[in-house]
Amino acid sequence: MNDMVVKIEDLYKYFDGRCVLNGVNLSVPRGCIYGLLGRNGTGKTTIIRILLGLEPATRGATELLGAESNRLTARQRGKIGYVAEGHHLIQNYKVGKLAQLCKNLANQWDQKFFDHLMSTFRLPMDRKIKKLSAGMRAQLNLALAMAINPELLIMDDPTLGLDTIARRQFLELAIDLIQKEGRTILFCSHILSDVERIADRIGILRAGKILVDCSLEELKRRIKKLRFIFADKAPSQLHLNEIINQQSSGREMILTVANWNQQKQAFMETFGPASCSEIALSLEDIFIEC
Amino acid sequence: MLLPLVLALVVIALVISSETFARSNYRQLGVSSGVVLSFWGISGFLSLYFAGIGSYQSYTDRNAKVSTFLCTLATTRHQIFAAKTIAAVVYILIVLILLAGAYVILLMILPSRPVLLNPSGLLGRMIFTAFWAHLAGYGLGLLLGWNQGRIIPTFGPLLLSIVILCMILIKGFSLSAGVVLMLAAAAALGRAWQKFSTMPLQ
Amino acid sequence: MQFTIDNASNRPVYQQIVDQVKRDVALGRLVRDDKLPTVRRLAAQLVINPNTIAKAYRQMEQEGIITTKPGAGAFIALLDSNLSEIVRARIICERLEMVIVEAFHLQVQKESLREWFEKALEKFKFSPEKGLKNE
Repeated sequence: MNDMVVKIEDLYKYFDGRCVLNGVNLSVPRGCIYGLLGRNGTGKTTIIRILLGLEPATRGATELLGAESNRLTARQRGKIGYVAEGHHLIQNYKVGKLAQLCKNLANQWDQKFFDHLMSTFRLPMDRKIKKLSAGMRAQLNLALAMAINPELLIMDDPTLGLDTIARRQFLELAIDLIQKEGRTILFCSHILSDVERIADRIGILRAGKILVDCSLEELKRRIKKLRFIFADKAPSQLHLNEIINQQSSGREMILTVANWNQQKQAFMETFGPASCSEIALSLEDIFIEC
Repeated sequence: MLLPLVLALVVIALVISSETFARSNYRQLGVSSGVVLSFWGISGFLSLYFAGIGSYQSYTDRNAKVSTFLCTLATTRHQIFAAKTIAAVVYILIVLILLAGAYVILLMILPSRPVLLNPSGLLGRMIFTAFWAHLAGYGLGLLLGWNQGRIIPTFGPLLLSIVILCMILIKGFSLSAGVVLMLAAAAALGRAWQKFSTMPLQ
Repeated sequence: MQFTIDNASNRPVYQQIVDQVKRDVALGRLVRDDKLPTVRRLAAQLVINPNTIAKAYRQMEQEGIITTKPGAGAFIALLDSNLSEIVRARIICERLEMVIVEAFHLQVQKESLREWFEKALEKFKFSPEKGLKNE
């Protein structure tokens, strides 16, 4: 089962002459939870909008569930759940009415599950959407997206504005979904601890390009932060490849390096460090260093 | 905001109505100018009304992001646009049928009944022309509503309706006017469909 | 069965799970034929990707710590059920080497290392059938 649910090839996007996406290549295999990370304004939302056909690409191809983004049939769209940052829903509708609309337009609808979610989130059915808080809108958005039993769930900063318990509920729902056969989740989040918890693969977007695209485990394995203590002053110049960050102060040097291997270790040993210890890096630390 | 607009419209309708009365075509009907010309005036006004509807739909769609939301459900943009257009067509037809019905009833009950109720298919031509005028209005309204700001979506329909009115004024409710308006409607809706299919949805 | 997962740690999550199961078995908290939660249950309970849990279970099965019976779940296996002497030697020697490297970097002397090893051994009653028991 190696088909790619999301395929992005050479994606370029210009907004008024400004280049936002500069040749993005990305694939998300089926059954994977993919976490897309990047600072604000790096284009994560743009990628997702282009994927869903809400925005045209300047150049390049994007595919969802095997079909081009701007040629998705209604049936295919029905298999995709989308939870958006800002959570745009039809503001003037009541919750119940919007749910009915989604139900009518859906390929499949799990009413029992929807009701269960609504009661878990404690969302009122007869309130207008514009009267809901941002957090409640997020929860409603998620409930609507989950009730259609999606094959692919795309979430763009879904936990923005949610309290701790609500965020945990989101994660639990994501895990619940991925346990079903053949589901895939693509999500962007700024809360890296959440991503770290549930993501299989990580992509980091920077300056319009994908900087990193691998499994979380591999990422942590490849990037190491080491603390060297030298007998004398720490060397200032290091001719070593793939240094991400280097800080020297007195006899101590803190080095963040990618693809740490025997050769690099041997190279460092030529400087005769008195000690070398590894500093644990969380995903957040890695992200900040990159 | 709407009231001065409506008044302006009424004034324009009346003014142009009285101009048309002077045309000899309608003399053969031998009825009081009000009835025939009212159909024409109302027609013109309805063009604006449907243009307003189209504009309002596009404007609210843009602001409330309705289409954006719908597109994330199991529908395509083509389906959404088709649904809108069909709803508009049905609405226009209903309105025209009611109007035509009222027109016929009025003619029948007027003391100065004309000999010919429907000289040379005038009623048919009026409906034909009016239908396309209203649909063209709707299409143009849709296009205008997608503009940013409030001025074009509000006043654009007014301007365009006046253009449509003038065309009917010049050519009367003839078949050729109807055909021209049909082409205008097709062009407007076609362009709106094309734009809606490809524009970025906020 | 309670697991404590540190997402921020360098040690991969699946490895942490394996470590904790091993530790519980070594301390006698888990004995042969004790049932471990299913992958699904554990993923939902810890709110962790099920692939990670599955990987941990696969590794444990490979190392002979657990056996899985289709439809029934995962059970703690007898400690020396399908592990040959060579494999056991490999696992332990790998760990020993890690400790030695760490000691080197901390500039610990060989004699101190030996001393501490003996001391640590004395802390536990070493009996593979019944598991390690703390004195």
